Amino acid sequence: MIRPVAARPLHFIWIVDCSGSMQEEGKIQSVNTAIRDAVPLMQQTADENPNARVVVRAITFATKARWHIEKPVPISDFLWTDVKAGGVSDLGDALRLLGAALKTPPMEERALPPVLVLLSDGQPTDDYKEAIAELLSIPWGNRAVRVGIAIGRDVDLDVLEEFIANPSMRPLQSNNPDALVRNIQWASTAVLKAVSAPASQASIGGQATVAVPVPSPVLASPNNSSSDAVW
Amino acid sequence: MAVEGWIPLGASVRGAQHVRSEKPNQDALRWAPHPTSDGGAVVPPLSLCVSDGHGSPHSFRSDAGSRFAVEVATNVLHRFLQKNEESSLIAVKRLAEETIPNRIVREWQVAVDRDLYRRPISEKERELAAATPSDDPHEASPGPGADGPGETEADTIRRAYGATLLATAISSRYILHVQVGDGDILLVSQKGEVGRAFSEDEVMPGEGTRSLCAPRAWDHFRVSFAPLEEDALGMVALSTDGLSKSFPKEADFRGSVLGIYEEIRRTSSLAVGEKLPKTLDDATRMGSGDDITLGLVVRASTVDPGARLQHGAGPALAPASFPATPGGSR
Repeated sequence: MIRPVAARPLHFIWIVDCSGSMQEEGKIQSVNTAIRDAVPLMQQTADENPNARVVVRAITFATKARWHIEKPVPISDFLWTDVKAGGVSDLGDALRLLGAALKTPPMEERALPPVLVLLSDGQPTDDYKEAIAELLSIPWGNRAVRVGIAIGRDVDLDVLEEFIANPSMRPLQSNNPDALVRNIQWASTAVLKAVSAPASQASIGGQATVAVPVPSPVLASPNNSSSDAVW
Repeated sequence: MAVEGWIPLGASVRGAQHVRSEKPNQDALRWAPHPTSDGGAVVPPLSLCVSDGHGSPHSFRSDAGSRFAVEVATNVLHRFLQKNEESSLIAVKRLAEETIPNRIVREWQVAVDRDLYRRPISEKERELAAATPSDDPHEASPGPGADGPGETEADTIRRAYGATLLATAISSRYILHVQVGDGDILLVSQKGEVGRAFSEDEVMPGEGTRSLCAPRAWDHFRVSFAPLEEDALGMVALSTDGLSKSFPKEADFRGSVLGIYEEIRRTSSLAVGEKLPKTLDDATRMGSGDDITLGLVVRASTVDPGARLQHGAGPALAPASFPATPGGSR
């Protein structure tokens, strides 16, 4: 009587800064390790929320941006391949690449809000403002849950806030590898879980977002860190 | 001219996600008047209302909010139909647009306030309702008053009952559709064409929706009016968004609603009504995971006379879904 139904796709996209500064103090290796370690947790979260079909991709940006993993991969099959750092920081190019992927098509008519996680340690070297505006003008770009993870203290937090474009969500500061791991795990599990099973939100004054739990404060505490690195 | 009858049927199922999280069904469904005991057609005036409680942490009483929404809306619409049965169609259209949204919202607010009086919000619930993004452990969305012009404390508390509303009211001469928030009202013609009473809701960030609990919620209502024409409309389908979100494409959703109409014509509304709960249950398990409610009114003259004879004793409603309460509510 009713045609075949299907779980809605949930597109999870990593946007990783691979500029030259990410080579310093093991930052890029920490990113690789943290994302790889988050995959089993994402798979577990996906298993617990079968009504969401989680697919994962990744964009890297340095001098220009490119797809690191272009075709959406089901989380059950996802494997992280290490990225390397070198070059400048063309964030705008990355966001334009992202925007093209969020248009319909190729995005499905019906899907859960995408989760976009931007990791960066510095300041963009190209025109990113227009790219952010373009991204937010695309329906799926606007409906996405956008997370910004700052790596180290040299990050221009204003840029991440412009990307997040939600006064209720702050960039997540990661000043050492442990903090980065915690923030990446939060983005890839708590946020994923919230978006997988979203409740409707009354739109008051034109704004409403997916209800995601606010993460516990990540304190920069080198004495408690398992690593000597402080970024 | 004999007044044409309509056959009401439908079902509401708890979402697969809510089953896993042990939350109640947040949807509600109601007809007025109560169907006849032999399952036959109901003569207008009649109304069908569906509501979807938000279910977010801020809307922790939205199962009650949706129940109040369908009760209030069926009463308001039934009174409107009775009062305007003979009025000129132009006057009815204008009155419907100008008065129905305001009346529904005001009476819903009264129902909510009455419930608050009987069941005051606890201190913990009050903190939850008034939490700002920086200190709410459950949400990262803008807090009350942060971006809602004119939002009062009463509005903030009523957000706990937040719900959408879809409604169809049928007289002997015209049909009205009313909607605030997400969900779908589909119109199926006897020729098998499927259209929408309203265009799909504006794109909202995340999973946002318009709501009965918003300040000046009547400004966000959509009202549609049309004279009833013979040999045109075959069925009206009201569904909460859990159903449409279970289909990859709009065309699949429309095709399935058409399929239900065709099966009713091929078999009977009673037979389809009995299958609906399982059908919707399959949709939530394999599709959206959300609560799903589907309410239908079928033009009796379009159902095969042989099929009508199969109705027999018993209500046309799926008895497994609804308690036998006056007004036929879930």
